[in-house]
Amino acid sequence: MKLDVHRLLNEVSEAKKDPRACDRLIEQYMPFIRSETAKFLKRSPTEDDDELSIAMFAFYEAIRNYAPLKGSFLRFAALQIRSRLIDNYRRERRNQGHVSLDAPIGSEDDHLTLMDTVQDESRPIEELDIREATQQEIAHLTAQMEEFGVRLTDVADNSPQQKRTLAACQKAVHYARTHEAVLEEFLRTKKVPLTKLAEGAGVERKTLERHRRYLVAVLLVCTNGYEIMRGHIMQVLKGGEVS
Amino acid sequence: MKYIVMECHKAYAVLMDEASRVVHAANLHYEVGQVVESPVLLQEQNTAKPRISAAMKRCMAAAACIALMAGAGALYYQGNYTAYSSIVVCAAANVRMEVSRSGKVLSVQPLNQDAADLLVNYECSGKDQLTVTGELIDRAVENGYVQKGDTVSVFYEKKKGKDAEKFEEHVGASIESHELHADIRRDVDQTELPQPEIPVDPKIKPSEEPQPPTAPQHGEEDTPAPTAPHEQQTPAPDPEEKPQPPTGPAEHEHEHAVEPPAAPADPGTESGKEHPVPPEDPRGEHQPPHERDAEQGADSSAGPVHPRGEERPGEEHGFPGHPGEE
Repeated sequence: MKLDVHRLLNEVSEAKKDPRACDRLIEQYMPFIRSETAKFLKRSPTEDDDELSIAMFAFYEAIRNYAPLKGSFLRFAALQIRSRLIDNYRRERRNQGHVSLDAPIGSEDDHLTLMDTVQDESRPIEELDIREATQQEIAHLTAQMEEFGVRLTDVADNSPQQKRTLAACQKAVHYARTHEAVLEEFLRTKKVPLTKLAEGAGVERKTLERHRRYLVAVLLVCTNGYEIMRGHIMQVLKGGEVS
Repeated sequence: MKYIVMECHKAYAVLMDEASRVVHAANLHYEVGQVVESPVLLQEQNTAKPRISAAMKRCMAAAACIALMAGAGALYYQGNYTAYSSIVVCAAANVRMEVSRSGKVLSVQPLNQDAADLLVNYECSGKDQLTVTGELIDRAVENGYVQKGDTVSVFYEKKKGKDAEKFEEHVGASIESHELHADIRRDVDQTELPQPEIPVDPKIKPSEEPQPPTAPQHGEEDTPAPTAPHEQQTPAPDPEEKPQPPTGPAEHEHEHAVEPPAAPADPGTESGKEHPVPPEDPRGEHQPPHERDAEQGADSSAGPVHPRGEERPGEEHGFPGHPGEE
């Protein structure tokens, strides 16, 4: 019993550092996650249920936030799952009373829903094309980031959370966009020119150092070949703030 | 806010928002490249061990409160219970007051026997400096130590600006209400102040430096040299002697109170000029020179004398400020 607990703690600490180990641990404890979701739903969850996705995400949060001082990991994870499910339920409860587009209309033989009567203004083919192009850009970006030794999960962990820090990083990115020599040096040396960015943008070098991986991702987006993603964050790249 | 799905895992997805932030969110059946709104974002808890524990913070807060209270208490004590300055009132009975910063009188000490008699059954605790000064002057007048037209000297220190003006105004008014002359001075040199003739509180240390000889005053003859305080002797008062009424108009002003023999002279003594001699020294051989000379007939019409070791005419009777008999 104690060995199991010890092994679990080792796996949790391993999963904190390595995304693949984290995925493995989540896969290993899927029965536990399902069980906790079933306790909340009072029924067995299906793969399509958002609640199951929320519960898995809560288990991932528990891995990231767990510390041995907090007691048993499984008990901590169960508490996280329950909290998340309750929050989701409260959020969804606000939408109760709205008519669902999937509500059936007519007789059961017709198999018609309300959605079938509403005019579809979207262009699914165009959207599909855009999504495919975006996927290609993202794949290309991920591969290029590998050359810099950076992964997207690292970028997510390294991304500035505070408004002030984000503004400083955005200033540095805006400076790099307006000075092509800086971007060329960045691509050539495979290193972020922190000194030049700090001096040119007038921000602290220490701030840029702390968010180096994030800067790698955003500076790569500023280079050629990422039009869709640049368009997504265009307002920020122009130096403005996003409300 | 719109998010682009950058990466999908079993339990979570990596999204990029329009502010170029990259975040973790729940993977609600997302696809890479999809644009989503209102995702379920990751909530990070602060897992770092606090540098300072909660118990330590409580102790530090308690220590800070205690230090604050101690500091406030020390400041209050310093302002109200420690001597900050002194006031010397010379109205024949020379009295020294120790005053706190807030103006409260901490102690009152007599510098001569007259003052010791004046302060019998007098309580000054908790009283303001102006009140005590006024009361002492009233007492001096009531007991006959000063008469109309006499000068009362008041020396004070460490007051500036409006404080000094206010003090001088009040004390001056108090003195002049008794038809006396006021001589109020600030920050006078210690050597010019009257020295204690009787043992005083050890806290108040009279100047121990030998006093320089002063120039002879106008009209004085055979003025004795000033002596150090410890050489001065106060003859024992004669219990049968009583204070004498004024015998003539005031001819001079005594600017500085001197330390004459406090005991009033017996009207029956010869010319009233002789000082009472201690019983154990009938010949006065152990008297200081200036007292001996005074017995031998010092000029009673001498002008104001130095407050230290010299006597003024008229004080043979022990009534400083009274005109001397001629």
